[in-house]
Amino acid sequence: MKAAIALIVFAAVAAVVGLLAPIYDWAGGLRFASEMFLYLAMAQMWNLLAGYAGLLCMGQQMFIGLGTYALFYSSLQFNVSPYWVMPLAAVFAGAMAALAALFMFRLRVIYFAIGTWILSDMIASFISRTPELGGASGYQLSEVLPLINFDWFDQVIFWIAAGLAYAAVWGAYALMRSSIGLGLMSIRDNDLAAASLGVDVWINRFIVFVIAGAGCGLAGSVYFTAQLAMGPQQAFDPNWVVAMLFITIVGGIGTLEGPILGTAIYFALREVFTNVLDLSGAWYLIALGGAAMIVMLYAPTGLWPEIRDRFGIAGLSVRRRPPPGLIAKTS
Amino acid sequence: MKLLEARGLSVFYGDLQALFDIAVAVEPGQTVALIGANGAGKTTFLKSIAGLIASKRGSIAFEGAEIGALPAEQIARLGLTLVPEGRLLFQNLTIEENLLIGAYTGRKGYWNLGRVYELFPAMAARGREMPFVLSGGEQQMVAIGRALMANPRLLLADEISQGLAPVVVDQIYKSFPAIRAEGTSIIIVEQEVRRAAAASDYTYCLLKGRVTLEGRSKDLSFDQLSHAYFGA
Repeated sequence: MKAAIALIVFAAVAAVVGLLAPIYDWAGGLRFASEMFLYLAMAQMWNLLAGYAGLLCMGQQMFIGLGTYALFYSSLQFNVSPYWVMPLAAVFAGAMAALAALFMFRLRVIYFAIGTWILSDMIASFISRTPELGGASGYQLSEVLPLINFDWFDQVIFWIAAGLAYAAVWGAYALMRSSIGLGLMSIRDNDLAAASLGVDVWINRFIVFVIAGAGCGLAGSVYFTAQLAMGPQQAFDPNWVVAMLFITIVGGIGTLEGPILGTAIYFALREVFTNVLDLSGAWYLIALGGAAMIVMLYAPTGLWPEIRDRFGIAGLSVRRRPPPGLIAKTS
Repeated sequence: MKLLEARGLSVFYGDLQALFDIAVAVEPGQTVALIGANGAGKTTFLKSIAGLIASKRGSIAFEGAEIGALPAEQIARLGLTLVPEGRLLFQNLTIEENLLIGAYTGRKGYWNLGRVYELFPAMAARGREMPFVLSGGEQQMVAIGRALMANPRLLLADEISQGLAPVVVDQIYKSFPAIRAEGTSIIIVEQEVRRAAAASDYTYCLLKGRVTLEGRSKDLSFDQLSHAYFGA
């Protein structure tokens, strides 16, 4: 009941903020909000992988790149507006995730992390050496620009990004409440007991991996549509997964609210470090890494679980938690 | 046709051999007791049947089909369900969610959430609580209920009386006739010889990875059993 109220309040606040933003007609703010929503969607996908499915994927940027390439390539090839081929980006990235899973799932934990990272680098290197795929310079949407109405461009991107972020959060919530989520959580608790009760570890993880691939592919393609240009360096940038990891771990891995809080912190720090403190390049990354380490030392499970337990907020919990008194009694 | 038939089953942990040429058979509707001291190989035997140990030799037939090479989740779907040693409840899931995981195979039959609560009425009011608030005996009931939710043809009950007070163990054993009545056969792994013999139709005694005695439970004398149990 408490959880349901929290959900409704949260959705209402988010919806009002979202509805008002375009009316301000503040293009810079709109772009900033779009970027935040896209990062949130991506981080939530990574959280599903690492926080729920036990898949430490360090090559998740490959799906951002693949989705982006699917969109740019098909938009330019068939001369259609990028909006119409966004679903294709999701489908293509999801299909590639399914293909990658067949090989990558043979690798365990840390080998999986390294394997996915290398696979992403391989694809990026292959594309930048293939002139038929745009080579090292990538693609620009210049030929299809007449198909885009630039009076509404920032607004449309904003709505898509916001919709994607909502879909990512609620989709993750629905998934974790489903039998797949129950299976995943049982695997996380004890994989032997889960397997001996008929829970198929492989297929549960496969479903999540494909969903996360499709989600990141779509989010990436929207991000680069907003930029109107991309290259293999940017689309397959390992910094994508670093951002997803930072947001998820600082916010609270394995919680659905964690990435929301983490996204807010990530962007707040980015603004403070780059605009207020005027840090650039390496100094910015060092500051960001320092912030992550401080959080990990004081709140190893992330900030959201700390806040939740201190104030007893139910939030988006997919578990039915016992009252705090019962926890205290056993310790 | 036998429900379960293991022949020439040998199991290895690396270079160490834990089971040597085991032959065990379970008839439909039968309750079979597997007794033996610590380290005799009882748990290893159950785990290898449930598909949790890959490194084995020999044949395991379930309802006539070879299952030795199948992964655990496929064996579970055939109706062979393990109540693991130490219960292994999912600590981050509620009691009811633990039971629901048992229904993951989608096997239809007599058992469902309501019927499990009927069998263990103490659990009915506590579905939303977490497993750690339960006593050991109650946790064992959840573990058995979770396995029953799969509507198994054969239930493998590993050390279900371990660490429990005798009065609680009595309660748990009292649930067995109801389980059998719905057509489920049971293999009980037990250290307490008398209790196992009383609750079963047929007994196997294991010692250091080998079957040292088998027979109809009521035909085995206590002397025979203790000789086979200790190897003295």
